[in-house]
Amino acid sequence: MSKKKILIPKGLIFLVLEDTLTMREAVVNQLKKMGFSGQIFEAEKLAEAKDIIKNEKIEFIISDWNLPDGTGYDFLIEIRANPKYSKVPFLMVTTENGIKEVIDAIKEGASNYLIKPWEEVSFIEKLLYAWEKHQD
Amino acid sequence: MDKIENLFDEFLDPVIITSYDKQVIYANNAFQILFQTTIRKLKKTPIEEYLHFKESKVFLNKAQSLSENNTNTQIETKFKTSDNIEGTVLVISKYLGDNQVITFLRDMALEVNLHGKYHAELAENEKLIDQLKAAKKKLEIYNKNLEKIVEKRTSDLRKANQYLKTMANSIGQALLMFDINGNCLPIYTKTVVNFFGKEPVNTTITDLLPLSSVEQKTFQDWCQITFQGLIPFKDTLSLSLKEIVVKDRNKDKDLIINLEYFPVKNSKSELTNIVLVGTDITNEVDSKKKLDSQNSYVTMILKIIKNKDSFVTSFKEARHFLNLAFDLLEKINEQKPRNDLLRHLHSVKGICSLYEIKDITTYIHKIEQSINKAQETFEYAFPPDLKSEFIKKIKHTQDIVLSFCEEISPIVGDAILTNSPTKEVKKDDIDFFHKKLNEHNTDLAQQFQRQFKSVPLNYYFKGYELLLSNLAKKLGKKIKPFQIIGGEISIPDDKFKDVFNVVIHLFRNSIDHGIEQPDERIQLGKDPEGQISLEATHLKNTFTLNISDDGSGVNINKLKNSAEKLGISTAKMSREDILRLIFNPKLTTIDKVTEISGQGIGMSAVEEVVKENSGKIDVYSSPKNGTTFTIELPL
Repeated sequence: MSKKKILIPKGLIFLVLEDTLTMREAVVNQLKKMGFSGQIFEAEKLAEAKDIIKNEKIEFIISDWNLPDGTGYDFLIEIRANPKYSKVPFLMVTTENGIKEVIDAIKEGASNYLIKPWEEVSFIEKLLYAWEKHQD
Repeated sequence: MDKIENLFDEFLDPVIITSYDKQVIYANNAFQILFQTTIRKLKKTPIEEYLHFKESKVFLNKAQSLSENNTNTQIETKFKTSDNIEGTVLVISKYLGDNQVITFLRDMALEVNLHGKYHAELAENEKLIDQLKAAKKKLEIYNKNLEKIVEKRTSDLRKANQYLKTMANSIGQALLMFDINGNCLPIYTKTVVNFFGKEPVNTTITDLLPLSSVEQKTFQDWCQITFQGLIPFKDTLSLSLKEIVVKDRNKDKDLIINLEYFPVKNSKSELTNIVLVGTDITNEVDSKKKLDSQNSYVTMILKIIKNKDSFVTSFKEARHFLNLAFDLLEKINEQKPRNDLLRHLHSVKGICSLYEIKDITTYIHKIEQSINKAQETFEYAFPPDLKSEFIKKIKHTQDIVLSFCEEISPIVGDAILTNSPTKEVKKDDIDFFHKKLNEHNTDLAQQFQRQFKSVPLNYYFKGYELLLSNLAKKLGKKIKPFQIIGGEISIPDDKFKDVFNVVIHLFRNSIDHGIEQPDERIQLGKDPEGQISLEATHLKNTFTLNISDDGSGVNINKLKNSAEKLGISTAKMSREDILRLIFNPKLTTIDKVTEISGQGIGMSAVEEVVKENSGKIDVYSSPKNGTTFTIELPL
């Protein structure tokens, strides 16, 4: 891996879809720690997330797999079917048990995946990869 | 005429028209250029004065033109002009009529030049061809050498490959390569065949590996996202199939194969192939399982020890629930709700899992599952065969639980085996209460002492069994299990601790000097296994310990000789007195023959400790029947 400099706008608008407060806070804090200063929308349910993407222009999505009213996979399918969001980076967060399903998510256009509990290094790495992937 | 002249003006070959008297009438440009003259000059004088041909018949005179009117004679002739220009021309003349003759000339020098030029070119070409031929020859030679070099390289490579292959084959790892379509390439180690039962030839990776159809689909999907490079290769690894179980056809057991993947990329750094490395990790997994079970056993013991009291209480409760379940199952009929059965079992499982007693938890879980399944089918009572099966299983659980209680009782105390609940009390508190009681009521105090401040003899001596059998083994002797008679007799706490500690030397002595070797015992008509026993009796205010063996007895003569050597006269001594000499400090020192008996203190020291406790020790021995030590202690 070459040490290519990846430029990522600080003002990116994020959507963090995660039902447990602690995990959601961990993601948001990590983003802030990385220096992102744009708006970070938070959702704990699929329905909320759908509302947000309808009304806002989200530039980066981080979504958990298991949600109270559906799965992150459902969200991914919907997002990719929407022309407005077909190229937006989508980072799928899952647990060790959900690893088999991740393959489907990648096939359906998830930019990359992250296994809980994640470490800061891999969070940053996967986030940058997801961003770069859609910058052609 | 004008027309003819015009016609020849642009001719490339020289043309001249002369009269019979050789006066020039016309010469075209080519003529003027070849002979380097002008028409004006030419017209001044007859042509023969300017231009001389070796052949005279070039410019026709009247006679010539008349006689050779229709001949077409070409003459090649050299010429020379009055300006000294020389050359060769091809000439043809024709009578034009009106006393005029036309002459066509062709500069042969040009032809010669051209010819020379072609020749030179040809020569050049031939030279080139020669060079090419030479080069070809060189190339052939080079090729031949190259072939040799390549042959050598190939054989080196083949050797290296062979070496690598042998190495790869001998490390016992399966190594194979598959492409973007999942097709296996003809590069693999022998172990592949050992693991997967066939050669990876004309097959896909998903057909080679023993996969279910669902697993095949997952593997194919994984290949797809990996070869498409949808995410970095290293990120695909955690999504890959990491382990697979195959049948070891030689040993008829399962092998656990760990799978690792390595990318092969082309010059454009596109993924073209994947190398799969399979490693047999069965032993590692087994030992890890063993380690895990040991760890969980330690966790269980620690949990139990930390919560000893609540464990004993809870576990008794668990046994109670198990009994309830058993009773319920036996009485089960249409009226009794069967849900209670599962509820009771669930309580037992809950308590056991709280203390991480894995074996019992797992076993009960299995029973629960089968009862659950049966309940789906049978709405009320179970059919007799199923009922007796469940009864058998719960009975078995009771047995496991009981043997677990026995196993754990040295740690948590015997209370777990009894039905009444227990409580742990500090020794200081008991002592304090005993003292208080003694101030008011000595009878009650004595009763209290017997009840709460005494321990059974077994407490001191039960642990010696293993020690004695190990000792016997070390000396090549055989003994029956250590026998304790009267082990339940209670002794006040710590009262004769010193004596009990010293008694071990009597046991040692018995094994070392008393018990004979097995073959010797057989010759004597004895059981090859010797017997060592401890018998305790409690009479009024005395407490007696008899420590016996059925060995060879004390050798009186040897004892006598040893005593005489030390200057002790044994002539007037009774047999009992002589026997008692073994407690003599001087003698016991000498008798430290072997490592075992000599290790600790001698018989004199044993007697000393007994006397310190206001007791007395005696020895009885009869040849061939063994020895008995009797210790009497006041209570």
